[in-house]
Amino acid sequence: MNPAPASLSAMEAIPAAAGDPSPAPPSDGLRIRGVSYGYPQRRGAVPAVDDVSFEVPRGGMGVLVGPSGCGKSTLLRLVAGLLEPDAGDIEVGGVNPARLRAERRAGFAFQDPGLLSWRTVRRNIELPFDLAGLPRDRAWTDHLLEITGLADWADRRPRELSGGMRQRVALARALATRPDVLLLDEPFGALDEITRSDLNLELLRILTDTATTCLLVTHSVDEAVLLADVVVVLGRRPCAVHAVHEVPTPRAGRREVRDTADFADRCRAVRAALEAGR
Amino acid sequence: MTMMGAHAGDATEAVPVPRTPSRASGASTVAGDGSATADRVRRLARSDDADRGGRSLRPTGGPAVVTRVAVTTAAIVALPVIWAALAATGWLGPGFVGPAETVRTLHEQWSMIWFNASPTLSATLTGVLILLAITAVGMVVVAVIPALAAALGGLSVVLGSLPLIAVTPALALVVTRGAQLVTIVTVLSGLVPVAAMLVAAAGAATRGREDLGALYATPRLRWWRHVGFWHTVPVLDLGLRAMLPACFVGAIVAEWSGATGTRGLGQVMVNALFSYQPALLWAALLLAAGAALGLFGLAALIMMPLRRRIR
Repeated sequence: MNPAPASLSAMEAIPAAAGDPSPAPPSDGLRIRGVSYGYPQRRGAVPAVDDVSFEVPRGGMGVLVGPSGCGKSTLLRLVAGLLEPDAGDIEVGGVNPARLRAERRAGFAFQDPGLLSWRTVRRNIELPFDLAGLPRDRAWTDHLLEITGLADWADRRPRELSGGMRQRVALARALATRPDVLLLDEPFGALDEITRSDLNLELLRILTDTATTCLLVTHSVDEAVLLADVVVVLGRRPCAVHAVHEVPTPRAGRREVRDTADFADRCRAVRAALEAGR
Repeated sequence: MTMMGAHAGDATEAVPVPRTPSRASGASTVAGDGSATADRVRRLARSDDADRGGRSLRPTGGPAVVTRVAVTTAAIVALPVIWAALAATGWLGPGFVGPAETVRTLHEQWSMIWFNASPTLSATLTGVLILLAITAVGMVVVAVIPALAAALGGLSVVLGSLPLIAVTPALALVVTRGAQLVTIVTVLSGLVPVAAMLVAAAGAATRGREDLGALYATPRLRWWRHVGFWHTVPVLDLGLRAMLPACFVGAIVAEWSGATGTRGLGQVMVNALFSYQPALLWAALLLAAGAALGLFGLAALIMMPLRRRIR
């Protein structure tokens, strides 16, 4: 058995805020305060999110972990403005999700990349411009193709790509409109361990390059600790924040930290919080 | 420590597992338990294959395509062979005319048959054009108001339950008999595939793709133009292939049941039946089958560029 890790102090467990009603100054990043949501049904709403509060700093990465079906994806959809919370408020850079959506300032990548088979890689990345009725930004698309390593595949169709490449296209598409917040719903869930690991590091690099605030849903604790600046541990449905862990490791050192005891200890702590929240 | 305990202890040791479990060596030790299980599964799969005549699934590709084409061709060739064999036995009486006599009659009476078939084909094509316009408008309407798909579903059930052979005489009471009435019945017979197409088209896109539209606050029509329409192409393809032959059959049924008193392939069939000219009846039937197949091919050809694009 390992001794109690001194490095655990580096990862601070912050008690979950319980819907503090006092006004707070506008946040640069993502701020969720006292958000609740229930899916409307004939016999009343089915609660999915209950009084959730946490913050992710501007340009930071928040990772949601929790049991299956606890409402993580619902929370992402609330941030994207695809659903409207019953209570509480959400802000990204001081802007609410409805305005964020109207101004096309949110990017979303789903578990299924959902690429359009009749479009080339480039045209798939440019889809948000077409949907938003905006002129295509060829230079930005070229840049996205470059940073996702797809420049040589720009004129290929999705069927010619591997699973990992398709996910990179989905990621680039989510970044097409230069969003303030990037929402990723288990984007690497269906990939093998090695591809997933490579894409994790690539994602960190891309987010650093684009200075985008990100909220990611994952079932992998290792992935959460590797990527996150803030790990938000959610309890059973309806999801409520069970614990929030800050991971202060600088992004530049994430690749090296994966095989250290410190990383293992952090994973263990998140796993313990997950277990306690079930 | 008992022997059992020793074994249990051994089992927990980290024993290197061979990278490729060898079936020949029969690696079924405690350490290789996983590979032994895998071996068992493989053996079971092999015995399962043997139960099915030893054939297992093969990857799709070139040979699979060749096989498919060969099987289809064989099936098409088999039909006239079976037809000729049945006619040769004489079991079904003199009314069952073989393919050779049918083709000869078709050749000998081609000018008369074609004179009658051309208005049938003309009514079919007019009906198809009307239905294509209905499909195009319907798709846009359903894209903008998806709730209408349910209404179309109900409508298609009602239309599908109408026996055209009974509807035609009823319509003849209100519409003058002739090409106009044949076209109306043709359109009615093609409406069911069209309605089914529209219903399927309304639900063709996945939620994730609809979410993309919602995320970028996309108007429904624009979303449909860039995403929704392309999802409907497989449905459109199948629907058109079903619609064209259905229209042709509808036109023949209309003529058969009195929509026109002068010309038409259906009219030829009725006359051949009641004047006992089985060879002429079979010739008309052969032409109808050929035309329906041709229309099916035409629909496939029209849709080919779109089908290729979404592949």
